Amino acid sequence: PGPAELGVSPERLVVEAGGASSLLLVGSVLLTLSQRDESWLLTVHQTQTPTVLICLHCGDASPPSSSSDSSLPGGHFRLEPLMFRLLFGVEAALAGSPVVLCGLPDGRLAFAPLRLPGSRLRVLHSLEQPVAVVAAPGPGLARCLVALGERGGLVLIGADRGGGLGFTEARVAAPAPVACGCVDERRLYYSTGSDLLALDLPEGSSGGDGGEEAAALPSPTSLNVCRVAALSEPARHTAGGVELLALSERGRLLRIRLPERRAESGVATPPSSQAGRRLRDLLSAIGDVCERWSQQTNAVLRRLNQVISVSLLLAAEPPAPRQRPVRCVGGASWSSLLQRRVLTLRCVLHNASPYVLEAGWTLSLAVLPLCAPAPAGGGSPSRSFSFPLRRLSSGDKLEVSVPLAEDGDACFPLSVSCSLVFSLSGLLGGEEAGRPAGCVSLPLDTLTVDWLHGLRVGGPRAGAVGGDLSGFLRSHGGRRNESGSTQTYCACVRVSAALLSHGRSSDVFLRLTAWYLSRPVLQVAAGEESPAAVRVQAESPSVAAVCGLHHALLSRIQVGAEEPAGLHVVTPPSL
Amino acid sequence: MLCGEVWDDRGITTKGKLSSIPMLIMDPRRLFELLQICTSIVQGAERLSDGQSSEALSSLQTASTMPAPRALVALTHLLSGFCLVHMSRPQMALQCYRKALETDSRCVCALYQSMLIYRQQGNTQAEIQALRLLHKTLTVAGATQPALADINPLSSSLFLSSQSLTTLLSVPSALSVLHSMALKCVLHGRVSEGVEHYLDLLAAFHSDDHNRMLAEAHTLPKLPDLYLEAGAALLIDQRPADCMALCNEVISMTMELLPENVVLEEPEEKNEPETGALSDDKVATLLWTAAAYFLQGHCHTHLKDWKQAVTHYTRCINLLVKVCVKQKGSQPQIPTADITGNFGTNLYTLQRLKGLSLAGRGVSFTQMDKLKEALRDLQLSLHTFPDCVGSGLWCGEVLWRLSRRQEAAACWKKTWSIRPQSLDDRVPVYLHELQIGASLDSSELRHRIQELGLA
Repeated sequence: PGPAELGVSPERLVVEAGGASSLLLVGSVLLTLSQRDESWLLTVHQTQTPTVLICLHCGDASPPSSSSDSSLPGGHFRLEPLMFRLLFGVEAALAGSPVVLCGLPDGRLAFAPLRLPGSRLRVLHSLEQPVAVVAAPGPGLARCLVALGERGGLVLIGADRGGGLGFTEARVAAPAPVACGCVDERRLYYSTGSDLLALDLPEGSSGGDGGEEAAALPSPTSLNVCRVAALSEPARHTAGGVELLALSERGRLLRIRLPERRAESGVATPPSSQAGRRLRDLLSAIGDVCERWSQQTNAVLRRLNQVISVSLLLAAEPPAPRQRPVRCVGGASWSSLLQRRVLTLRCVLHNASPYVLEAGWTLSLAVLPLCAPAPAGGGSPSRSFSFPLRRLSSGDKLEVSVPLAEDGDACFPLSVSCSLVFSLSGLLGGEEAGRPAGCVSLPLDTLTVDWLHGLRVGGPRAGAVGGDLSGFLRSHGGRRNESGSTQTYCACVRVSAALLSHGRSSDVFLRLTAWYLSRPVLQVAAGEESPAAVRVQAESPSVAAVCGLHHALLSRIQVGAEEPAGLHVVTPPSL
Repeated sequence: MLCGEVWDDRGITTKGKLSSIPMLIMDPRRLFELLQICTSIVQGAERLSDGQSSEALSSLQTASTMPAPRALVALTHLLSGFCLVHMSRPQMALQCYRKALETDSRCVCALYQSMLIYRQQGNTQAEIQALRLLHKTLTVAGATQPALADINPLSSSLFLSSQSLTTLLSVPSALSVLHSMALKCVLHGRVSEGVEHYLDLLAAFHSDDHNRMLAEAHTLPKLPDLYLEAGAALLIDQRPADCMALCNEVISMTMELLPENVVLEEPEEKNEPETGALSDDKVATLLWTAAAYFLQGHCHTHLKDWKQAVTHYTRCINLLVKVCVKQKGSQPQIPTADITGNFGTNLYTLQRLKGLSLAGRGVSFTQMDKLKEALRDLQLSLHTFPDCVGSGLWCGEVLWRLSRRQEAAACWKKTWSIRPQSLDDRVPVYLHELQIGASLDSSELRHRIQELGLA
């Protein structure tokens, strides 16, 4: 699912650049490139340095917009009436006017009552560094204002003992510029990008006794959350404790729940050792999560690495079939399954690579008739079989069997494409299962099962299964012989002795021809031409059978010139 | 060229189909006329500010007969009026302002200038009438926009951008006008009407009118002053209970902010410190509170509750004595009547308030037959504020009752010789000598002197 769409109202637009085709931020300058008519326009927008703007209300006076609702929107705070009058004067209080307070990049805190005619911004204080946060401890009536500068300059503005305004200045830790912050009843939370920090405000800044001047500020506590770019007003969590909503620099919304720090003020604080233990527990819990996560990540990376290695190995320029690091060999045979005769392909996956093929890999076999009529249903005539691997170490073999054709239902030749498949979803563990994920498919060998394989009835008991053969031939030849004609067709192949004696495969080839000679349908006249050539002749009343056999013989002799025409014909994957 | 590209309100040229067809924005003859009258107006304004009133007048009078939009013709009449005021012919100026209004009823500046002439002439009823019209016109929706703006892209305001003209045409805000009207009514016998205007003014401060922040405010007193003025108006209108409520409001706001001691310093130079509502407002806060107690004391005299009156006057006096005055190069001291220096209105207010509240307490003591205390207060009052008529008369009364009749007669005679100062509008109405709950009949006092002479 794509990211949720965010609506931005026009009044929130900072820079309007219609038709901008690209943009770039250089320091505080935003560059946009746009085309107008024929010319290209590079526009320089000076982006504003961030400022802070809040609204303060006197006592329980309701803000202008919300009539009945007592809760205030973000950026609005209620001040205790006396504090309000001290800060902003009698006039603003008499008019019941909300006062806007802004923190400027030059460090000034300035205010203006909204309801007084001609009221101008007046300076309350200067932080002498860009103002990052201005807030009042809430949610009740605040007795002070808190302002925090970008470089950690903090000022608490409250009533002093003499009844005037007191400015308590301090410096707090800010290893990086303060990006944002917020205040709850007792704490100031601020983010420096590298960490989120919490600072205890002096007692009395909200409710309770009068504000203390020059109260010593404790050092801030790290909350171990980095990259926080914006913070919402803290809310009391129902289960106790404080909940902050934060927006990370990468646009992720974080909900940060802070446990109840301690009981109401006045109750003894937990001993430091206990606090230390709690912190240690927390840290170790974080450590556990971290370690688990890194282990998991490592395992995934290791497996991914292996997948990539195997892929590279198999995708490389294919060497000679026998040297291929992972290869498939197979043989077809007739067997009896549930009282039915079935031609079965026995396929052996041989892992000669230096890698272990682990769980996640699948051997996939796709069986496709090469010259079959399209099936009546309109679907694909091919069938596929998958065999997930458990673990196949280097040098190990895996043997699988698939049914190719039933008696009387085969259509030769058949092509069997073997491939190794790795599903990436398996990498990510169970929770990701069911989702569509990418997979890696590596083609291995392609086997061809032809008429001669179909004829093969097993070496020693060749004669005993003659019935099978005649049935097979009948089924395949019958279609062409319905007229009852007794005419037989004949195909003849002559193989020269030079070819027969060629290479190391010659004796295998001879054994093959010898086997052929024993077949009743094949009449091989070898005698008189023995020294010079061998003639292989196929005869059958079925023209299809003769053609198929002839094709099978030819292809075997062609390949057999270089390769032992064993039980398989190898086609390199790239062909 | 007035044709070619047409700009939409976002400033983006909409080319294409339109670019080939020239669009006529304005008839060239109309444009010529517009330019001519606008030039006359701007020239007139410049000459006027250079003091060349008669030259300006003749060219403006010529311009007033030119064919032009009504608003511009009204402007020529208005500026002619300005010239006549400069030439000390106010009646003729009024005629011009009337013509301007007849030509364009939205010409608020003509109303304002008429009002100023009536004020100068002391024609209070006409001034109040003009203020009322002005306030009405200013508060009618749409009047805030300049009357000359129109939808034509070649608006006449384009050609009227002159600083002199802008200065001449400036008009105070509706709230300032309302305040002037309220004050005039109260000071000139239309008290109930004035009270209504004051209450409208206070209500306006509590409404959410977003244009208000933009309005200029230097002509308007601070809000606590307005509360106190409204309180005084209510008191004059014989509504002491309402006055007390308003004063209570002010006191509740300022009470906790009152300083222990305040030094009123002569300002070094005329540099307005921009630092908040802090030091400068301490004196103001104290004076507001004191004035509120003073008015409450008055309210109690109206209710014949002399004891409460004494209490409130005392509170006022106790606050006022906290203020010391520090002149340049000397130590802070208790201010006296003969102190001089550039202290602004604060010192004047302080002394006047002190004199009036001592007088009020003296009268209250007189009513309670505490003649010794009464005499002390009344004499102190005269010391601080020698021109206080009430103090003089009541001082004589107390002396009379103490059987110091010759002194009493001298005191009365001296008081009658005081020429009552004409208080201008700048003295807040609550610092005027308001009628309190006991009065002396001057004719009866003269009769006593006559009897004394016979004796």
